[in-house]
Amino acid sequence: MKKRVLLIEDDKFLLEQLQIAMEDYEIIPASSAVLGMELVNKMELDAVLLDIMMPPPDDIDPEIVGYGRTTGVEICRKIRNLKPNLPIIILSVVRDPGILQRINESGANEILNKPVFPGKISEILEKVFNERLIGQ
Amino acid sequence: MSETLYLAAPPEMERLLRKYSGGNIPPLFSDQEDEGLLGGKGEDLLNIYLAGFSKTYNMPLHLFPVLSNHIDEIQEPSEDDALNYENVRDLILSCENFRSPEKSDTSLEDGCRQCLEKHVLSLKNRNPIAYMCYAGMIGFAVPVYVADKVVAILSTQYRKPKEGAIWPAGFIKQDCCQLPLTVNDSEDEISLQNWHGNYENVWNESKRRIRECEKIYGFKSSELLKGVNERVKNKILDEVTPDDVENIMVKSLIQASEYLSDLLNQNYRLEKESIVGWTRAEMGSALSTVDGFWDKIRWCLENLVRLIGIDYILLISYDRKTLPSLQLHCHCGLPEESAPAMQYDFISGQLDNFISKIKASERIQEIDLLKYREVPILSELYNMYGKGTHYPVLTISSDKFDNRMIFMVLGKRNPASRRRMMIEIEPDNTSAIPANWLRNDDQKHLITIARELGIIVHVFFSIKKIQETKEEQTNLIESVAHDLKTPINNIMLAADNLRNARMSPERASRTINGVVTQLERLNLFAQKAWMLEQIRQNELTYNDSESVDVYKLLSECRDTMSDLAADKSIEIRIDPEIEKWRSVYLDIEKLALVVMNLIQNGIKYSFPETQIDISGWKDVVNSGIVLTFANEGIQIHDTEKDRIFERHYRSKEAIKTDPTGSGVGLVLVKEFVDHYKGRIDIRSIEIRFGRFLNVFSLYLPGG
Repeated sequence: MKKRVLLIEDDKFLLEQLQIAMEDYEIIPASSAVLGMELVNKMELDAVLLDIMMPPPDDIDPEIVGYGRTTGVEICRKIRNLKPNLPIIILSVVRDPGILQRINESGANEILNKPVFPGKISEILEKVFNERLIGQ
Repeated sequence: MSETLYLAAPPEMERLLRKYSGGNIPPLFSDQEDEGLLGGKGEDLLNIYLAGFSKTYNMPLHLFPVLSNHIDEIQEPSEDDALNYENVRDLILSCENFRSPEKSDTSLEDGCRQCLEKHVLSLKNRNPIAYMCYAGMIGFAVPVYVADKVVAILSTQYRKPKEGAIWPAGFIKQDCCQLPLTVNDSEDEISLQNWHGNYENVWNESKRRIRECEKIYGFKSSELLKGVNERVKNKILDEVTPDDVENIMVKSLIQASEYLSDLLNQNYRLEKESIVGWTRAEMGSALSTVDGFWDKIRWCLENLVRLIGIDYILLISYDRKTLPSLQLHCHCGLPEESAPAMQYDFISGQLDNFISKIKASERIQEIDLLKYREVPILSELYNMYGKGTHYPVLTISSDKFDNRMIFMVLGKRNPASRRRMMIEIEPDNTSAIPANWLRNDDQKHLITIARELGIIVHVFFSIKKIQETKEEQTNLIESVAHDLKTPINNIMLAADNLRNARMSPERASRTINGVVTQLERLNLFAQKAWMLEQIRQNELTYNDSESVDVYKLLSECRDTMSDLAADKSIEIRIDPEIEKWRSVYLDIEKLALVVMNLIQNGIKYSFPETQIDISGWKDVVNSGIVLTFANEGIQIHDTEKDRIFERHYRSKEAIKTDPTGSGVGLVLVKEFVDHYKGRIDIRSIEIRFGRFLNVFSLYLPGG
């Protein structure tokens, strides 16, 4: 059975193309942080791919997330609180060491720098799935 | 007899005491290249030194602002400039003659600034502290760096030391005068006697010697320098070298450190004279450690209040550039709870009048508060303390630096101590207005400290500004990376999907359309970047020879943006009336870029399933055109309407809607409109709760 991966990404074109490209997985697309959180609550998932730069949802203080520059960090923290064992991979263009540290502290398993390609994403996904297996 | 006061702990001294009690101070000069006194460990050295210097020599320290346009004019110094008679001589004279920016003799003031700056630049990458000058006086000048830029110079005032001040043996070497004096022997003897015995004349003597030197060498300073060097080399002169000064500095640091240790047991019991020095030291230190800046300034104000015997001081600034407001930065002597209400006040009209009154003179003056009751911060003050009895005194500290004016409001609550009649101030009256309830020497202290305080606050704002700019730059780089990488990434991914035939023909066709949109996005980005670069290099040229069919151009832009718009189900509509227009003469490429920018912004910041309406009309009066772009989105606040045209500025609401974007698009729009001597208006009208109709109107005359 295909692993189910939630992809939270506000760029709809990228969302669609990744969904097409990653045919080995069941990609669940979410084009906003709010939709993503809803799906995390509702569905059984094997992993989450999460874009870092997204418009912040209403329940997050825009100032905390640099007016959207680090929305993914807060979303990651929320997902981690809900599902402590769910692998989360952050998709990022950020190089700022402070932000990278915040991503690490938010409970993300991996950070993947954009541009992202399906091969690389699969590689990272398999890595976190294996780690999870070993952990169990 | 000196007065003794007990002070609250000076904030910076407390920090230093904790860190360096017991004389454990770091070396003066590090082996590594020093970034300037504000960087690394330099800041503590500066503070300790300030403390030690103020206490030990009772010598006032002064802070001179350095304006950016002056720095630009100065060439990087050559090796030879490092120890140059001319620099040092000018420095001495300029420090003595330095006048505030408000004074009319601008040539002298510019000259002073320039030689100070030259001097400081000549010290850049060398010892940060100046050295003994040839004329026998000692002093130092410390460049205050902020992000590699000299923003101010902290310097001793090269003048006679105060009577009774301690000048340790050898501090001024008695025979360091470079040349035998050839003037009247008897006068010379008297001078020398004075030199040795009476510090009153040291300064005059130094100046006299400089002038004598100039006479001898026909004002050829290079000859003088050569002569002096020769004499030093032949040991005819016991010259003071930079090394000597370093030794003196180290001694002074050790003294300062011991002094700091002593302070631990003294409960800050200081003589009144020293308090002035301490206040200066704290003020100087406020710059080097920006944390707790206002606490330090408040501590200084508290001292002033006690020294001068007034009841309250408010430090207020007025920033011409940003908002028409008076801003209260800190205060003392007023109840804490009264402060928050006075933090910010946005006003106009009355404020201009008020400010012009203050500008009339930089001396202490009195203002009739009753007249300015419409200015909220002043009306608060009036209601609390001013009613019918007395009036505060306003002191201007500085008003030509970075468009910011800083002034103090001083107050006296006790009417009995107010021994004068109220005097009306005319805007052009530059004569001093006596504030008789202040002692003369207190007035002098107050004016000097207020001026320095003003400079420090200005420099503080400069530091803040630079910090903000740095942050903005980091954000910009990330945004640019995002703007560039995202479409490239998307195109590559789509191409890969197409190559591997992973999709149905229908989906493939949609993907190809998507790729085109991504390429257009990239193209627009490249065009914007290119135009921005041309603006930056002052190389932007306009080609007005081509006639533009406005409707056609708008339609093409709409088509280019249609996919982006379709993503959010946004419809772009163009007023058909525009089709009837005759062609206009404008730079077609740039107009297209402007239109695309406005449409792109419209799409970005519109709610989904709305419309962008482009309409326009012929401006018959100016034989021009007006184009309007209306979209339904978030509010553009009044305070942001001007700022969104600043480079890299992005409104908070805009970022909330779309965190990407580099905040440069509207800069280009503004540049275009300015070129054609037009204007751009923004209106934001609430049409439903939380939904605003935002209308950008471009007025282009003579089109």
